[in-house]
Amino acid sequence: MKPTKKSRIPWNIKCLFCLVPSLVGITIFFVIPYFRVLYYSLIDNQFRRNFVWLDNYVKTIQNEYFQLAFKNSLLLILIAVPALILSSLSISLMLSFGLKKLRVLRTAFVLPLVIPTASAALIWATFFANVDNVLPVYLLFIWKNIGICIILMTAAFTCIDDSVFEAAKLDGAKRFTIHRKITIPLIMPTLIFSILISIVSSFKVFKETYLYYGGTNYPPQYSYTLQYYMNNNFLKLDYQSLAASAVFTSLLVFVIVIIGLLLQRRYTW
Amino acid sequence: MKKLISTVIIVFLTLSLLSSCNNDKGNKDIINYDFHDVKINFTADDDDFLYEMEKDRPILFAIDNNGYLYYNELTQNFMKVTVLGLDGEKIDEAEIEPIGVWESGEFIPYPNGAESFNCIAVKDNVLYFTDSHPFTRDSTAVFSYNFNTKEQVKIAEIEGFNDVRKIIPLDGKLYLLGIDERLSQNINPAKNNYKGESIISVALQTGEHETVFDNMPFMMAETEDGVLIISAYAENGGYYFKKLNSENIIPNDNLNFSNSEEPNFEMYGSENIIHDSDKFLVFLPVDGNSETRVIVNNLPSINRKNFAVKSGYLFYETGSGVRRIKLSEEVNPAVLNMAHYSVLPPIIENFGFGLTFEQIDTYELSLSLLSLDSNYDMYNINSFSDISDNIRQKGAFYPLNDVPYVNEYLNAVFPYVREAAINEDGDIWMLPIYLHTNGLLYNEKICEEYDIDIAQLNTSEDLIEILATLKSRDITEYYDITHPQFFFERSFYQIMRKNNEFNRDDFREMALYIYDNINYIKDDWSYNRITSDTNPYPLIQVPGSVNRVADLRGRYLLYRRGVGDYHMQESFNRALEYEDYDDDYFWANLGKVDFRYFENYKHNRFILYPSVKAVEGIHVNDVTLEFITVNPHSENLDVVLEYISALAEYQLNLENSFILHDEKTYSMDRHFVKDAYEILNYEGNFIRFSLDSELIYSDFEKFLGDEITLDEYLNRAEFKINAYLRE
Repeated sequence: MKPTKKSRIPWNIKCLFCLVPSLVGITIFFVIPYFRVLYYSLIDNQFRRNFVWLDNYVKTIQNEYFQLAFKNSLLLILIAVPALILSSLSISLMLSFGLKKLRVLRTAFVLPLVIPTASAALIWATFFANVDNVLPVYLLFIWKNIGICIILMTAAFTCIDDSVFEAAKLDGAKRFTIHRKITIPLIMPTLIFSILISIVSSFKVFKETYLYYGGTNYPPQYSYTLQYYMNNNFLKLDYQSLAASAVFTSLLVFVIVIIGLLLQRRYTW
Repeated sequence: MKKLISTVIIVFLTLSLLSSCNNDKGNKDIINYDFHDVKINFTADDDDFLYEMEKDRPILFAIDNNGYLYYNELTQNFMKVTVLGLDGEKIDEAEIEPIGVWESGEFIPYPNGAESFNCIAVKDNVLYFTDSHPFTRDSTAVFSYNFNTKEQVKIAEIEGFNDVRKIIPLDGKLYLLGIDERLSQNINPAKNNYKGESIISVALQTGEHETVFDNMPFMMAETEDGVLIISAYAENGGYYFKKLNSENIIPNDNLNFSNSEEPNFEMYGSENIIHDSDKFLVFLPVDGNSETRVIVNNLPSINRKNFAVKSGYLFYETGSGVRRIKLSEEVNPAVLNMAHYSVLPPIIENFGFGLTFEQIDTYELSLSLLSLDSNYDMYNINSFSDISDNIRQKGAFYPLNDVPYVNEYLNAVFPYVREAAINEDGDIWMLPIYLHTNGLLYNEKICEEYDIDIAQLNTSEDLIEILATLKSRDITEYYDITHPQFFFERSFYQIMRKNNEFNRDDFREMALYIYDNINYIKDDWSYNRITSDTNPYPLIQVPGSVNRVADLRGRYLLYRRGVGDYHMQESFNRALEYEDYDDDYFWANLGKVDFRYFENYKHNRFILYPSVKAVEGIHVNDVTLEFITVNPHSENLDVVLEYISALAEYQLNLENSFILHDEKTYSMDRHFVKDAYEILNYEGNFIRFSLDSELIYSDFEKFLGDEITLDEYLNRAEFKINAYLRE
């Protein structure tokens, strides 16, 4: 048998070559625009272009409506994201280990992923017509995102070897203890990943609330989030406030993602 | 390997950073921009000469092939013709005998006699001139005066031919364009402006004359290579050109002659005609190709009858003599693209520039500005859109401070318009075009019949009272299309003019006032009417669509209309075509009033629309301003600024403009013109830069529909307005 001729191009170079199209796309559509946004956040006006360095950031952070939007976005992360993770975790556990009959409802949990946002917002608006608080928005966020979290967690459960559970049972562990001591730690990387994508999604909550409140740029005070702040500044041609808040938000997301990845690495077995 | 990947990423990042920072297109140095270096199309910069006259101005003038100027002046007993050389030096002069006829042994001078004639022309040092019979005016005499021999000759007397408008000596003949009595008997004035003109040739040696063209000509001119070009009305409307003795007809519908004046044109070269369109001289190929229509944009108004073109020079009469300019060709066919968000393109003169319009919405406009899009050269916006104030505040414009005529124009407009056109930094951020505001139109005659004193109408309470009076007298033959959206919006801006807080007593009162006085029907603003009581039906019925004037047949007492409505103009014009209008109809656009239509309207008066309440003793009136801003990233910035300059000059010289402050520029002696001027000159006027309409209406409608309480409405509105103004 004739031996296969070994390629003289190193494997890593081949990989890099394959990555080039992706890198080019990311550079054109993400990196360059991001640096442009960064540049605009440092000048006084995109038409005059005098550098004011961090003035736009100071102005933005001091703006009471940015603070309000930031607070509302943060509340969404602190309240709705944990609620989303807990709900999806509970449902995933029940689907995987608990109520077998619940499995027939699996499609129902994934349905929000495929329902158009406009339809979902309409259903929500009808259902919560007389509710004058932020609850519908939180519920809408959870409802829209629960499907993907359930899929991720259920998939993670299937990766756990049954022998681990059997050994625990032989050692006399109760069901709650098994999940607390074995299941959760073993799916921790997936859990952290779910938390991360939920947080990122929470920063993007705009379309749903925009439609839920009837297409207004000024929803009730409690639902005024960073996306509204940025969109309104776009419409008002205030690119500097828009750019500063976008950079600020992206840095925040970046920090959260880094922390999440570090945690994920720590829990990777 | 890691180093390689890192290097690649760093290269990408560096490139991206450079690309983001080097995109300085459009970031031109505003201060050092030298406008006067820019030349477009045909300019008058190369040569500009003023022939000094002994008197203020010539009666007529003609140019010979040497470029010498022949002109005549007013004298008591004879016609004095002077010949000036290229440098204005006097070359020759002649005292031409009075011209007229001998009747019963008595010399009777022709009407213009020693003072002037119909027309003059010159060729080979011979002057040709014409005049009409002194009594009957049904014949025309043709004369010549030879400057070499000092001999004056009567060449011919042509019966049944008068009002000669132009004469051209060519190939041993003199061609005359005038009115043929025979033809003027049977014309249809509704079809075009034809008055019975024909072209007659007169043999210079024998005086024999014949009609050479009578198929509705209206003007003629000679090309530089000696060809007679005739322009005529086409049978089915429009115009066409043809060469004499040629069967080839060249349709041309791009002419823009005013119907009210006699059209005139000259030939530039052998293919382009030059004619005047209002205050501008338009160059147009005979074949009607509008792409190369160009303009001399720095000329003052030209007398239609007194201008000539010879050897690339334009001669035209000014108040102080004859001016000569060299027409230098620098054809720049840049087409300017104007974005507008109104349904219909703005009615703006193009002054010979190629101008295209594209409708975009405010979101696209924001995106275009923020993305430094060079696709649009100008934006036509009005203050009614909330983006207009954002453009001012964020500097999304090219400042017009150094553009010729802009400052002069802004000094001439109403002071509140000038104030709106200049931002806090002193930059002129837009060029105002026209204003519209809401007036209450009423028929004075009918009001007198019913003993109603509209002149005392100041507040909405007064209006409601009048409506109640009318109702109590069972007077139903009037219309009013006041609806709460208008009423509320107007009130909103009146009250919010100096204070942006909703949650205060006067706003609360206003909201309750509207709540109490209209019959609100959910989701149907157009049929909600102001009423005088709490009847479940509207006091005022409006048949048909409120946007169609033709539906408003019959009499009316009161009629509220935003006077800048283009739809109204269209409908009105349609109504005129079918002649189904009478003295009770009215339409006015304060921006561009067409006074031809106002002859019949004798009983219409205009007053300021009543306001909800006086603010600091003044019933404020919000005025909407239509304007143009220049995209700082336009690729045709130089040409755009030339256009803006031409537009500013044009606006500056408008009569009855309804944007200029000087009352002397309003020459029309009409009630409504004076009324409209009074409205626009009112001390309480201000240019309203609208806020996002959603801030104002959405919750107010819920309040009117009893979905939320007044306090809830005010709290929501307060949050929205504060967020809008401060975020």
